[in-house]
Amino acid sequence: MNAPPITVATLGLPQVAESLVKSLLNVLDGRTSANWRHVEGFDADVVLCAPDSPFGALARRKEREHGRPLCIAVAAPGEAVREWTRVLHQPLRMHQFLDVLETLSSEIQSGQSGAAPKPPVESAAHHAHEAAPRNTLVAELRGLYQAVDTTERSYLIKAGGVSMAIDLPQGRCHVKSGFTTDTFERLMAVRGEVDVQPLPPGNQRDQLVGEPWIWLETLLWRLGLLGRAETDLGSDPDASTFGLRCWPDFGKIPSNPVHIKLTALLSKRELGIEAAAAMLNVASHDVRAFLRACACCGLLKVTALQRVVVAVPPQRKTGFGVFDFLRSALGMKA
Amino acid sequence: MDAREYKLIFTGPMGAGKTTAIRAVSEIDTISTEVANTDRAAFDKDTTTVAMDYGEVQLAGGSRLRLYGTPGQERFAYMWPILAKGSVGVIVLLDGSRADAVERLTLYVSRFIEVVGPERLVVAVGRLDPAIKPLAEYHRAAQQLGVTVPVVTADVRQREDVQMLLEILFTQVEVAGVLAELGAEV
Repeated sequence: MNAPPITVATLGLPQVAESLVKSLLNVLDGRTSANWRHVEGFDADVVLCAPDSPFGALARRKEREHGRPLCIAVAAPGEAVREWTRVLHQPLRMHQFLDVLETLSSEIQSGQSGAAPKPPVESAAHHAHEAAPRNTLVAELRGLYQAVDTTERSYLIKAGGVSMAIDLPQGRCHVKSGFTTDTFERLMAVRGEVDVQPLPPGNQRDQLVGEPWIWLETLLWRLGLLGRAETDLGSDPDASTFGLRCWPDFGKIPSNPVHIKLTALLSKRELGIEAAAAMLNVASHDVRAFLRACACCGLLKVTALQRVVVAVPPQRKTGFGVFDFLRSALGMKA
Repeated sequence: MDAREYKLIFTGPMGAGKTTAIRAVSEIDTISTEVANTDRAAFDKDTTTVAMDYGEVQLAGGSRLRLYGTPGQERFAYMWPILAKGSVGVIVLLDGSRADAVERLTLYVSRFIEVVGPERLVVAVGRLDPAIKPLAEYHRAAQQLGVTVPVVTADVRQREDVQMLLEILFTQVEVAGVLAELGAEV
């Protein structure tokens, strides 16, 4: 074979899986139509990633922007990989691995004869929740939020007369005039697609120093709370149950006792809106707003029920005794 | 109402902010057993707590909330269950600028969960540096222990942040009680 080898890297995989990949490459050496070589880092032609690792998110972003590397999720049994188009399931089997290598080498060879198609400006909504329409403000922000921690790039979003610089390495959103009620109202009024442009390299972080900012997740949370559309809550929120994947970061998002209560409940058990409201004696519109905010931040699990009736527990009295006593002594709001 | 005593534990590795957190909410001058730090390899700070920190909040009717900070060096880990037993809850403080912060989460959560249970634990990450470890890595480490515990960022120099951690802790215990009470009704 005179063609240069196709390079493959592993990112974020457990050590056992990484060793297995290297072994399989050794075993298959000379048995594939292309020559494959294992390398370290992102500059490979192909990367095998853990689906939920930050490396995986970064590699996929590079793939969308540059057409390379081709990304493959290496999924543990039962692991969700809905957003991935190429998947290898663990335990890795040689025939499955060989099939993937052969498919990829065909793709790469055909790509070499013609440039791989890619959009000039990436849609940051690529990772967004399936229910959210692409390219809307919330969908774009959510896509960017999911890339926080994994990329050094920053973006400029223009929407509703507001120009926001998104500093992804820091997870911050800057607006020169600051975030006032008017800013949020303008953003809430945005309909349809928004303009997202990468900030030119070398022109990014320095210009943002000193500008007012808020955390990107705080912005998403606020937009969720203020929003009206419940598309993120599934096709029929009243016939669904909701749970949380993990706690919102209340160190960044302004905390509120009702939201903390709902988080404590829904991180332990999936419930319908009315059931959660009754259990904690909070208004159901507050539960809906909270769920929208969680959905905006990618924290929500939605399960559609077979029937519309959702069990509603008996109404609880407010106040829990000793902890209200402690809150009062510590100067906290009961 | 009889006077009662409650205790709350702040734990975590050396330099995570336990002494600072107790000072943020204590009504009395905190009592610290700080000595010169001879373990500079573990953490570069001048002093460290060798027995415990202690603070206090007076409650109505003569009751008291006692605030304890565990020593930061892990060779004192034998004290952890003694301090935590019977407590209202445990706040695990981590220094997110340290490369081993996620491993420390696993250590502290797994040890304290045996004593107080998952609903009485809160994890707070200070000085989070996403370039070292994003918060998602902390969530994943907690989930790998098979439990859902709150993991949030916090600056324990700020009283409001310590109050936020306490609110999360108290609410968790209350909601766990509600769920246990309702049992199979839902």
